[in-house]
Amino acid sequence: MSRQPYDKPTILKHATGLANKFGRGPSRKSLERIDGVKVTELIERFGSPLFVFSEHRLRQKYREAYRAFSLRYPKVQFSWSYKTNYLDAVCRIFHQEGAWAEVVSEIEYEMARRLGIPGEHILFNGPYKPEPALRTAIAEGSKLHLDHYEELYTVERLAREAGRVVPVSIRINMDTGIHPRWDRFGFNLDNGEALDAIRRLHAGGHLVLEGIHSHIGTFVLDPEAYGRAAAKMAELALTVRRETGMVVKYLDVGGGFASRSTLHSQYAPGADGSPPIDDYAEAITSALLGAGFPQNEMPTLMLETGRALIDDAGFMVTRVVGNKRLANGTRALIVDAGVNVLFTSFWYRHDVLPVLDRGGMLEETVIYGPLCMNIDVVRPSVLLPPLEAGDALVIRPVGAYNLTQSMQFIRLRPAAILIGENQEVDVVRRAEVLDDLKGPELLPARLAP
Amino acid sequence: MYEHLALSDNGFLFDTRSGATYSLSRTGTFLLRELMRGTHPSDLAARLTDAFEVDLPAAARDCEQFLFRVKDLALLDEASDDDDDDPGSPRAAEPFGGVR
Ligand SMILES: Cc1ncc(COP(=O)(O)O)c(C=O)c1O
Repeated sequence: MSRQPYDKPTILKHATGLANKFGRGPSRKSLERIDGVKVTELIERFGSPLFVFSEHRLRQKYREAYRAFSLRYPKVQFSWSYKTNYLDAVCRIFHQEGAWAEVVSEIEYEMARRLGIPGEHILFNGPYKPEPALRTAIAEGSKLHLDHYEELYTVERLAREAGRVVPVSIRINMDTGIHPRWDRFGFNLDNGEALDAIRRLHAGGHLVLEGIHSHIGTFVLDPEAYGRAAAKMAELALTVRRETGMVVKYLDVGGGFASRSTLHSQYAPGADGSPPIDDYAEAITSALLGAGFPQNEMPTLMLETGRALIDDAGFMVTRVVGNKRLANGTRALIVDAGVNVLFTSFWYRHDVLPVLDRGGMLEETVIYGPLCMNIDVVRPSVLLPPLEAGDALVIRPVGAYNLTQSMQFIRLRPAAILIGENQEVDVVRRAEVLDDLKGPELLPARLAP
Repeated sequence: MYEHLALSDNGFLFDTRSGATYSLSRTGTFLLRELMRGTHPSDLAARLTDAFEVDLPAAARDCEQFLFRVKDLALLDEASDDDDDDPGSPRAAEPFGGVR
C-alpha cells in the first residue's frame, strides 16, 4: 500500500455550531521569498529573528508618492522622517531619491549630517532642542521649526547674539476634524496663538518667518483632514503676508498618511482600508491651489511622510520555538521575535505568514514572543496551518518604527539586512552582542566579582 | 464508547450528545476512526506511519498531542478516567507582573 502525504492530525471545534461549516473557507497564504530571495536561506545565513528591508519597495514607494504630489503641484519637497527608521542604508536610499532629512533631536541631526545632508536640507522638529543643538542648527542654516514660546525666545536671543536675522518656521496644531487631536506640539491656530507667535517673532526684528509646519497625527485614514489642514495653513500664510509683509516660503504638512497596515480596531485589512497616496495628494494640493496665492508666491509643499513610505518595505523573519495548547483550548505558538522588536504589535494587526505551508487545517492561533512577559503577544489571533519548531514565519508590514523602537529588553537586537534591486543581500546592522548592551556600564571596584 | 460520535469521511464530526461539531484534518479523521474501531491508543502511531509518509518518532509525538486534545475536548468517555496529574496553574502570575 502506498503511503499518503502527511499533515498534522488536528481537530477543531466549531465555534458557532454548523454555521461556519458553510462559510467561505479562509484563503491560505504563505511567503517563501522576499524580493526573490528565499527566506530559509536568509535564516541560514543571518539567523533569526531578522529584520529584512527591500530596497526595491523603498524606492518604488518613494517614487509613487513623489509622483502623486508633483503631478498635482509645482513645488514639492519630501524630507525623510528619521525616527520612522534611521538605518543609514534606509536614509541613504531616500536621500538618493531626493528627500531631505526631518529630525527631532540632536542625535538625529548628527546622523543626517554624517550622511552628508547639508544643514539647509534638514528640518529640525521636536519639543526639545538643547541650546547647543540650536546654535549648530542656526550656524548651519537648518530649517528650525519652533514648538513653543521658550524656544522662540531662545532662538531670538541666539540670533541677536550672532547679530543676524534668522529664518524660522513655526509648528502649529489645529482642529482638522479628526481624533485624537494632537495639540501638544506647536502653537494652536484656532485660538489665535499661532498668529500671536508670528507677530511676536516679527516684532523682535531678529527672526523672519520662513515656513509653517503641522503634523496632525499618524495613521490618519481621512485624506480630507489634510485638505482642511492645508487650507488653514494657507490662510494663515496669506494673513501673515497681509499683516507683516513676510512671504511664507513653504508649508509643511508633516507625515501621518496611513500605510497598508491594519489597526486592531479596524475591520477591513489595511491593504483594502487605507486610502491610496493619490487621495492625500489630491486633498492637499487642491486646497493649496485654491487658496489664492499669487502665482509668484506659491509656497513649496513640504512633506515628512514616514510610515507610508517604509512600512511595506520591512519584514520580520522569525522562527517557531514551540507549540502550546492553552488551558482554554486555544492553540498558541511561541516565536523568537516578540514585542521587543515588534513594538507596533500593540497597535497593528500584522500579517503573519508561514514560509512553507505543509497543509493541514488552519486554526486560530495566538502568537507569543520569546519574552518572559505576559504582554509579549505578536498577534492575539491569526489563522495558521500546523507548524513545527524551527519553521519560519514572515511578519509584515513592519518597516516603520519597529527597528527604531526596538529595545534591548531581555534579549539583544537582531541583525537587519537589505535586499538590493538585483537581489544583493547586505547586512546593514549586525546582530548585537552582549558588549553592545553592557559596554557603557561601570562596576565599582568594591562590587567586582 | 463512541456511539455518540458521527464522523464523515471528509472530517466532519458531530457529537450527538452535546450537539457540538468539529472539523478534523485527514490524519485526524484517520486517527479518530481508528479509535472508534477499537485500536488501542498505543498502536496509533504505528498505524499512522503505515498509512502516511511520516516517521515513527514524529507520528508518536503528534498522536500523543492529538489524544490529549481529543481527551481535552471531552469527546470520549473513558472507562476509567485515570487520576489526571495536577496540571498546576498554567496561567500563573507573571514573573514581572506584566508591567510596562
Ligand atoms: C514631526 C513629524 N513628522 C513626520 C512624522 C512621520 O509620521 P508618519 O510616520 O506617521 O508618516 C512624525 C511622526 O511622528 C512626526 O512627529
